[in-house]
Amino acid sequence: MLAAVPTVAVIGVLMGGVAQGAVPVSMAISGQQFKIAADKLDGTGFSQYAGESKDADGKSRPVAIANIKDATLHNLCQSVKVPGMPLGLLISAGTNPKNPVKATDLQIGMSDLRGTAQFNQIRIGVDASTVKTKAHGSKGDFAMDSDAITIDDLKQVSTSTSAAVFKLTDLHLKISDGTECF
Amino acid sequence: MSDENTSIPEASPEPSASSPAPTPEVPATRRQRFAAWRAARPFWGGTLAILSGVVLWFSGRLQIDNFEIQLGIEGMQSTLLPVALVLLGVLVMTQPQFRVFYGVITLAIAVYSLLGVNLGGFGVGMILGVVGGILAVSWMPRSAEAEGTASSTDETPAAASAAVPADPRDGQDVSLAEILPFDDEPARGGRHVAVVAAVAVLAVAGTGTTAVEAAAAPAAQVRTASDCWDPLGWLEWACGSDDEAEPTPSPSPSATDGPGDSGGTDDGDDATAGSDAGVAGGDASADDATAGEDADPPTPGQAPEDAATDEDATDADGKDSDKDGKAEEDTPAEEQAQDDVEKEFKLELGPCARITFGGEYDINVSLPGDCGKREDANVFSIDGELETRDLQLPLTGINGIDVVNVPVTNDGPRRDALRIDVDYVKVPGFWLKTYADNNGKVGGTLTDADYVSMEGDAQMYISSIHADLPDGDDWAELGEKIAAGASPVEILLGLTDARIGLMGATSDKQVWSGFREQVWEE
Repeated sequence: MLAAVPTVAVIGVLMGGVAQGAVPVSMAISGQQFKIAADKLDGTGFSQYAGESKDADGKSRPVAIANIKDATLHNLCQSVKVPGMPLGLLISAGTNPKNPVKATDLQIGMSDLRGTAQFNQIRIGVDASTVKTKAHGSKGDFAMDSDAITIDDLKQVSTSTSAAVFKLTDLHLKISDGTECF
Repeated sequence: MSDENTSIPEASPEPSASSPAPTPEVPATRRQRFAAWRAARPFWGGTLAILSGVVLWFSGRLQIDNFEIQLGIEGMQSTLLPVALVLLGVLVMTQPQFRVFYGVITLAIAVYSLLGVNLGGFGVGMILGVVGGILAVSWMPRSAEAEGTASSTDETPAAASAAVPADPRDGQDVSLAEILPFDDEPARGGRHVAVVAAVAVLAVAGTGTTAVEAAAAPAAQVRTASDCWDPLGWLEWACGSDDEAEPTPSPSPSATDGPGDSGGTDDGDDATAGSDAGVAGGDASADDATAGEDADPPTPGQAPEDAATDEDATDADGKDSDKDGKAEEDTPAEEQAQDDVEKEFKLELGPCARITFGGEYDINVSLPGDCGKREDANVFSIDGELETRDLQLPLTGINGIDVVNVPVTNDGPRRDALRIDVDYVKVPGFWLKTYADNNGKVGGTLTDADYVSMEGDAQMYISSIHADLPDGDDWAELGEKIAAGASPVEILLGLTDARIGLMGATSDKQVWSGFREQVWEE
C-alpha cells in the first residue's frame, strides 16, 4: 500500500512533464495503419526511400520510409482505428503555435502522403544507400534527400513511427468512436 | 496508517514460502487447490505484471526492415521492458518471499514505460503494471496476515486458524474472489479495493491536464474525412477527384472541351457529355471513332479548324490533331524534317545520344553510351518516370545541356545522362513514378502534384525522353524552330505528353504544391 503513494506521485509528475513537453518520450507504433495530420511540419535532415513494414498478420507491405533528423510539428493529430469497430484512439498535441511538438530522429513508414512541400538543397533520384541521413535504404532504390523540408497541411497514412525523442506538448489522448484525423 | 502496521511484520521472512499455507486435507477439487495455490503467492500482482508486459510488447513492436541503424535505445526499450515485466510477474509468483523487491522493480519499470515504450502502451500497459506492482508489494501470506489482523482487529480464532479461506465461506465469498483480485480475505480485500481505486483516480487525475476522455470525439476537432479515401491508389480512376492532378492530362481538358466543340448538337449538361460524345464519334469518320474513348468528338467539319488553331498545342487540341493527322500522312517534307531533327539533336548532344523514331510520330532520345563527361557528385539509382503537362522553362531558356557520365547502382557502375541546367523550371501536372526492389517484388512510389517548381541551380538528370509529336505538320514546325536556333531538347521537353526517364534532380529550392505520394506494388 505504501508503494502506491510514491508511484502515483511519480506518474503524476511525469504525465504533467510529458504534457508540458518538458519530459520527452520515445514512441514506436507499428503493425496497423494510422493517420497523422499536422498543419505544418518543419524539419532538417530529410531523406526518403523505399522499404517495407510488416502488418499485424506478419505480411510485409511496401512503404516509403521518411527520416527527419529534427522535426517540429504544429497541431499534430494521430489516430488509430480498430478495424470493423467504432473504436479508436485519437491523440492531439502541439495545438499551441508557440509550443509545437518536437521530435528527433523521426522515422516514419508511410503508404500515403499529401500536402504542399518545400525542400532546400534537395536531391531526387540518388541511390538510397547514399542519402545524407544516418538511416538509409538499400542499394539500387530510388531515394531523395534534402537539408530542410517544410510540409504544409500534412496528411499521412503510416504503418510505423518511431522517434528517439518525442516532445508531445499539450498532449491530449482520448478513446474515440473511430473518428480519425482526416 | 494501518498499512504501515501491517506491512512491518510482513517484511520479516515468512515460513509460507517453503510451505505454502498449511492446508488442511479438506480441499479436493481442482478449483479449491488452485485457490490454495493462489492464496500462497501474490497471484494477481504477478498476473497483472505479466499482462502489462504483454500489452507493452504489442504496443511497441517496431517491424520495419532496413532498421539496423535506428534500432537504438528506443528499440531496445520496447523489447526489454515488456520482457522484464513478464519475467517479474512470473518470478513474484514462484518466489513470493522476494515480492517487495520484484514488486518495486515492476513499479519502476511500469512507470518508466510511460516514457520508454509508446506512452506506456497508451496507458494501459503502464496502469496494469503499476497495479500489479502495488498488489505484489502489498501482498502478504495468509499466516502472517492472520496474525497481524488477529492482533489489530477482533477476529475469531476459528477464522484465523482456517488458513484456506475458500471452504467455510465459499458461498458468500467465492463470487467476489473470482471477479476481483483480492481473494485473501474480506477485510484486506476492502483495503485493496480502496488502494486500486485511489491509484486509478490519481492516475486519471495525473493525466488531468492531458485529459483522458473515454468519450466520443467531438467532430469539430477532427479533420473531415476525404471524400474518397484511397491509400494504396487502387481506386485511382474512381477516386480521381478535382483536387488531385491526373497522371495524364487528357480527361480534364476534354471535359471542358466536349460541350464547347459539340455545342451545336449537345443540349445536355456536362454529365451527359460522355454519351453525347459516343454518338458523335459514331457519326464521325472511322478515324475519329477512335477518339470516342477520349470523350472528345471532333466532327469532320471542325477538325481542320482545330488543327489550324492549335499552334500552341494545348492538351486537348493536341489529341485532336494527333488523330486527325493520321489522315494526312506521308508528306515528303516530313522525312526531310526527321533527318533535319536527327541531325540537330546529334549536333546538340554529340555522338553519345541516340535518336530513334518509332510509331507514327514518336521520337525517342536515349543515351546508351558511356562517353559523357565524368561527374561524381551524386550516385544515382534506377530512374523514375516523369510525366508533365508541359514543362515551363524560363524565357531565358536552359543554361546548359550536357551529356555527363555519372555513377549508378543499376545497370553497371556508370551511365550517361543528359544534364539540364536551369535557373528555374516549373512542372505543372507533375507525375513521377519511382521504382524499388522489395525482396524481388517491384514497387515504389507514385507522386503527383499540381506543380513542382525548382529554382536556384536546378539540374535535371535525364536518361531518356520519349515524345509523341502531335502530327506530321509539326515536323516541319519543329524543323523550323530548330533552324531558327531553338534547342531541340528544350522543345522536346516542352512538348505535351513528353515522358522523361528521370534519373534525378537537384536544386537549391523545390516546391511540391498539393502533392500526393502513394506507395505502389505489383
